Amino acid sequence: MTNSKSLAVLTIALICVGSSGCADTSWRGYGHDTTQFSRQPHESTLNASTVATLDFHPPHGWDFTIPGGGSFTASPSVHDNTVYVGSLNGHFYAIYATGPNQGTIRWQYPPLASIPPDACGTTTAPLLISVGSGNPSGPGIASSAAIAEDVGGEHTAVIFGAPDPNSNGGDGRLWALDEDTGQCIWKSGVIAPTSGTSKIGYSSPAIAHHRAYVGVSAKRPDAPITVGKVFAVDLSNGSIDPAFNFSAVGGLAPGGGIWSSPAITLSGNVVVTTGNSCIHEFGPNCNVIPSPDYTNSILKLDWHNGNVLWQVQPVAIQHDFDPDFAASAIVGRVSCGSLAISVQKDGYVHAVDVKTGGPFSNPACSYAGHSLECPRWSFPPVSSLPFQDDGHGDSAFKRQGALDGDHLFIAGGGLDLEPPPGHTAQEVFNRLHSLNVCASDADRVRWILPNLPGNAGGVSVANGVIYLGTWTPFDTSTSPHHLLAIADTDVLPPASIVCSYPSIPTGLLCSSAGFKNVGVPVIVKDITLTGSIQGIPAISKGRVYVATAGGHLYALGQ
Amino acid sequence: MMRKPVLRTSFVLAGIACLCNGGCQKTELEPTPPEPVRAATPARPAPQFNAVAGAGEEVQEARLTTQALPQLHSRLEIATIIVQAGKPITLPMQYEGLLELRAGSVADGAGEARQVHRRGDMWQVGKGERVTLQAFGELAVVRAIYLVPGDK
Repeated sequence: MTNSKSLAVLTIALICVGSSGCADTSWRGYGHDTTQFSRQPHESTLNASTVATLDFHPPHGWDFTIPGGGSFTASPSVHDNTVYVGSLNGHFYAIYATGPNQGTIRWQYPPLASIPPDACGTTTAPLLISVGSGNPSGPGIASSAAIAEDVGGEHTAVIFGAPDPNSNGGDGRLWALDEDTGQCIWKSGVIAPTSGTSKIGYSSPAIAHHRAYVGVSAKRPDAPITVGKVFAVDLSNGSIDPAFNFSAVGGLAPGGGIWSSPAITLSGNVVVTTGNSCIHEFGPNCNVIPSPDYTNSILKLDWHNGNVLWQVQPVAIQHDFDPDFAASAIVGRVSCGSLAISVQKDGYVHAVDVKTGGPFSNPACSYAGHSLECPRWSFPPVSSLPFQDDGHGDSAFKRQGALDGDHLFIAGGGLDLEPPPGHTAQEVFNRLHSLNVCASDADRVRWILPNLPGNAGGVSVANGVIYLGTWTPFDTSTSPHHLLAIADTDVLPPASIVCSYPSIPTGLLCSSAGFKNVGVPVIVKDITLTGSIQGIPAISKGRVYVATAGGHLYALGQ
Repeated sequence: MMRKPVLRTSFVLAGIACLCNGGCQKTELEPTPPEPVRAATPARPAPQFNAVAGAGEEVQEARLTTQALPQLHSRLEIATIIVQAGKPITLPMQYEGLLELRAGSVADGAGEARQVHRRGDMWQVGKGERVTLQAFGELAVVRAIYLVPGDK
């Protein structure tokens, strides 16, 4: 009898795994999970029909405002009926997602009142760098939390990067808090010492191999610029794995800050994107080419030791005018293989074959002192890389996209990013593109949503509905911004038509110029929220959770 | 005898597990397609930047090319100018020309005349004008196309 019972339980468990009946509807970290697709595969309520009534006012949802003021530039994570997000004010909040206490604080860290001594030396001091932290990647918590199991024994924990106020005025560490109580399980070894030039900024931990991988960026961007590094932290006790080493530069020259969050490939390796060098800027040891030079790149790293398995650097360092990768990479399987996809600040989207093993390089995309890989494709298409012109700088394309099957939703520059002679340069910052990542260059564009009511910020997707926040870089005010629910053209017919090269009118002019007339998707819902939406909207169990730099955390439901 | 149902159930479970994993055939996790065939980009010499006289260390310029225009008794000079972010800088214009923002963003002018430019914007400058530029972000890159009269 006992055997039969066990087998029945096992069978049910396996059936659950094989179907979506017992699916995990949580949103476990930045970009949903370590692939960073920003896609909720198990949403059963929200779809193109039901989002029309999306609202945050009770009883549909709620609006939590940071007590005493503050900003959210991190993205919310959702697990166990709780929304987790840290604030630039140095407090980390766990908010009830649903039920009678929805929208209220379940716990916060550090606690408001003193507690008995714990393993982390917890006090009531907020997690802030005392001095010298610029822009909304600090001085508090800009790192989004990851939910991890079996932390420090058998805890389910929320893990994020933040300064330690009780350690040299804000040494940067990872923090692991018990998800039920908010008690500190461990704080990691020092990752970004206050005495240095780095901090854990926007980088959010990626959980794999019972480790948390996280990067560091400049404390005050980028003055002075720092050395980008990735660290691996043991989830058992918070110790930093000394065997894993990745520095974005060698020698004395700094550069390559990690402003993004690592992603994990199917075979467990780590993909990161890096920031700029200071070859054209002022600062100690600037104006020289580092060796090795992993700046302004998408890189695949061996998860054991941080060795570089391939590097794509689309802009040659001599022409580095600040075209960082601020966006993280989306990494995972699509119908034509496995791709790592990201957008550079200059507006070019690059997709790279992840491949098995490495190191890989291709002389066609390399140049002196560099062994670089070629991307599978770039958007807009480019005939050769690396770029060697002066047109690659900060054009504010900083937000990563979302991926649903082969369909990418991303704010990129588009085909008219480089207007040919005779064409006017376009405002290309307020468009969302949907690209087919496995199509040919000619068929890459699926649809374009132009003329958004602001810059396209964080994106997520579920059931063919794309959730897009508008944002203003570095704006932590309470100015109004928008959350849009957009119906993919697979689920609702397009509202109108636009040329895939938007500077050209639709119709015959577009097609005779060699471009395609593509759809403009329907905006099913447009909701005005308070504050810039820098982070990714999290989707879980019929609700969309949005954190704003204006200090609000919204739950929007039907 | 007692073990037979257990064995049978184990086979069924194994079958379900195979189905859940998308089949028992071993597939490569991350396909490694052949390297794309591309034309290599010929290496171009990197521009040499020097501080612009009268504008301070925050402004650096590299002369890209000079082209004589004999019929106009002039020459065309094309330069790339890097403006570091921070305080506004003043750029003395020796010649009439066009400025084009190539990378980053800058504000041009001061007070009510202040105008924010984004990549691709072009604007005219006059000889003797003192152009005030303030870069946002970390730096901005401006292409300057000067028409220099009086030369053959």
